[in-house]
Amino acid sequence: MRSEQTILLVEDDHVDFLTIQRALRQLESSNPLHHVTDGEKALEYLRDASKARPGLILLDLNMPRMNGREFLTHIKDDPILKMIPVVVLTTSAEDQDRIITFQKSVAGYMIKSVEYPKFLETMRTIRDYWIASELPPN
Amino acid sequence: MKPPQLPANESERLADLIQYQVLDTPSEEDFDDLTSLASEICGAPIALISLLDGKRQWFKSKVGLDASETPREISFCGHAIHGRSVFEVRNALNDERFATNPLVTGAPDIRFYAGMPLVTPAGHAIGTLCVIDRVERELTPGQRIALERLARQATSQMELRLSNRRLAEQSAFQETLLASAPAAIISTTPLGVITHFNPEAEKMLGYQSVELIGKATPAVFHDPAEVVARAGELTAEMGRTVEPGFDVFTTNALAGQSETHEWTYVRKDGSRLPIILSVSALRDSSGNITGFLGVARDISERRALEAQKELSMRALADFKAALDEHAIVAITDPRGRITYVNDKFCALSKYSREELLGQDHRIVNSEHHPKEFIAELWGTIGSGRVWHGKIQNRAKDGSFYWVNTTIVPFLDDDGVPVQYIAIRSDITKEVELAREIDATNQELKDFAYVVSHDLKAPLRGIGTLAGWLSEDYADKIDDAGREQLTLMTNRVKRLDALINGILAYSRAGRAREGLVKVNLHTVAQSVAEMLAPPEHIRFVFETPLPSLLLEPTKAHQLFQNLFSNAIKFMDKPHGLIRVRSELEGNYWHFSVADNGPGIEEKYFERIFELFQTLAPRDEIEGTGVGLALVKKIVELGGGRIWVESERGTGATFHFTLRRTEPLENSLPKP
Repeated sequence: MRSEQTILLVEDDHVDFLTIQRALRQLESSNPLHHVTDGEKALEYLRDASKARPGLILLDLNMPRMNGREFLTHIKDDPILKMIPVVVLTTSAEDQDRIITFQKSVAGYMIKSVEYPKFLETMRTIRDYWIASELPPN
Repeated sequence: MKPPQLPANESERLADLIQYQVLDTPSEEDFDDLTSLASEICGAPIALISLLDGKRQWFKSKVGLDASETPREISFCGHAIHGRSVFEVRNALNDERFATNPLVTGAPDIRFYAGMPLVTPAGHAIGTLCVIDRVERELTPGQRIALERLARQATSQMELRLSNRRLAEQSAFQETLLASAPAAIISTTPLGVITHFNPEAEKMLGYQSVELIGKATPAVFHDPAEVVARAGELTAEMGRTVEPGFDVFTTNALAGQSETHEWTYVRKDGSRLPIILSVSALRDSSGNITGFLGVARDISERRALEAQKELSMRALADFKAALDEHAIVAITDPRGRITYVNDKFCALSKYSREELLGQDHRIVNSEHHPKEFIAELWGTIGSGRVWHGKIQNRAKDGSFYWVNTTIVPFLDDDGVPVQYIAIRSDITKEVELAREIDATNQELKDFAYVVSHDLKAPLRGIGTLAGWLSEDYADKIDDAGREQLTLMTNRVKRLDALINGILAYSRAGRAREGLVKVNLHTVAQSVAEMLAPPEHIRFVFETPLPSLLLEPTKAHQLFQNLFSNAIKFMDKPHGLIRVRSELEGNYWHFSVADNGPGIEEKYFERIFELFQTLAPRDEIEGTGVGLALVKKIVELGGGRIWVESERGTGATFHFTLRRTEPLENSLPKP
């Protein structure tokens, strides 16, 4: 069920990682959180058969080595991986980023707020949306 | 009886007779004198000048006979014309050719006949001078000679009439020619006294022929200065003195050369006329000069055409000079070979004219443009249409240049191009500048992106950590510490707002979205609604707002900033924000009026500057970007913005936007 599924966080900013970790704790989420710091590591994780396939990917766009846009291109080419919902988490309010990521059919696009309470609300929305949209079991 | 035979050359003989035009004409004394002399000398009662027509003999003159003609087959003369001497019959009754002739057997009872043929210069005997008697007899040798001479006289008389007639005809021909020739024809004696002055000469010169004929030389109606100048020329050419007078016109004609020269005639009224005059010497049959003939044609029309052509050529040359000052011009043949280049073309391409002429235009090809581009160009001009575009070319030294180009094909009657004229201007600097601007814009865009992400990420971290400190260590931090953390968080928010403001401001300068027709009424109303003003603040739209071509986001930002300022600063218990627009010429004038605190006049300019705020930030949060952004949007739209305000009673923000469409399309829809 959803509560056991892993959430994969692809994020290079450590404070953002701590923020998400804290938010999930405050939302009393029981899902394990796996954190990687760039797109390449995320692909490595996803392609490692010994690792549990995550039920949700939270994706930062600006990262070293492989950024979020490149990562999206890779997993949307993969018939299995493209089933995993991806929510883009970013600072960017630039329209161009939204257009690019929506073209790669992401499930959502959430702007990180400088205020933690707002960020917490964002996370709650994502969590609720995820739970509401039941996917066929993988 | 034997009828006379026809001569072998009868038809030529008849034609010769007819040209004298004497048949069936009245009797004339000159001929009658000859017949009466013949009758007298030969002592014959009858004398005739008989002319032998096809079927008859007709008598031009007759003595002693009433009949004016008799049939040819019974004529004695028909026999006489076969010889060239006197034909004599002593007694017709004894001659088998005539014994039964009715003219012998009956009246006029001919016995004796002597006829001398009338022989023309062409050698034809057209008739006879004959004498007839009713008794047998014989001419004396003297009578015979007299008859021969009289016959010659008769022929001469006819010959004389013929040449008189020919002369009259020729004279009429000449008169007609002189009268109707579209040229002045003037003849003179060898010494230059005018003998003929035709009607065209009268018309051309304004003199009547009677005023000049026999009285003057043509020098009287020539420009004396020209006559003197021509005399000088001829003196040099001939190596002898030619006097400035009539000699000037005849010197070449006398030397047997054609003399055609342009002169100026001076009319009787003093006005002048350009002419071309040909002079020929008139000579008699022995080659003696009998006079001179001058034929002059008016060339004022030709001169006017030449002057007009000269003017047109000069206008064309001026036009070309002006074009050459401005543009790079080249002409190629249908195959693209250069046939003309102007100096600017040479200067820009760094080739000399000699290097370019005859070369294929591809000599300056930069290979920058794809084959399809070149094919489209040739397709356009090859089918006779004008091509416009920007082309990169390569100069001789390998450097590149850009030219804004118009190629105009010129077609023959079948619509096939015969040459192409290319007019270009050097836009290398503009193209380079545009490239630099593109690069700068890209840098700005990258910069804005970096600012919005990389600057914000640590800021967010600070804010988050400050929040956690006050949450997680609430029991360990005192009130002063909490206050400091709150101040820190506020500054994080303020910096975030500033970053957002800067980004919005920098984005306003770039056209990111296309221009679309935006219904500003709808936009302004939805902004007012979205801002959710408190209960005590009311928006009133006093007039409808128009639809204009704008970027939707910018239209939104415009009203969002003005409206949020009015709400944010409202200090009255009943806030009223009035919005209106009206058309003023080519601009729409908008106003947003509030009844808030108002703005002091000294700040009217400053409030539109970037980062300028009037209230302390800790009292009313403001970045100082909003109005600067509004000003930028308005000015990019070709309008202006200003404020009117009285301290305490409110402020009215005015701005204008250029009308972007015909009036009927932009009028507000009710």
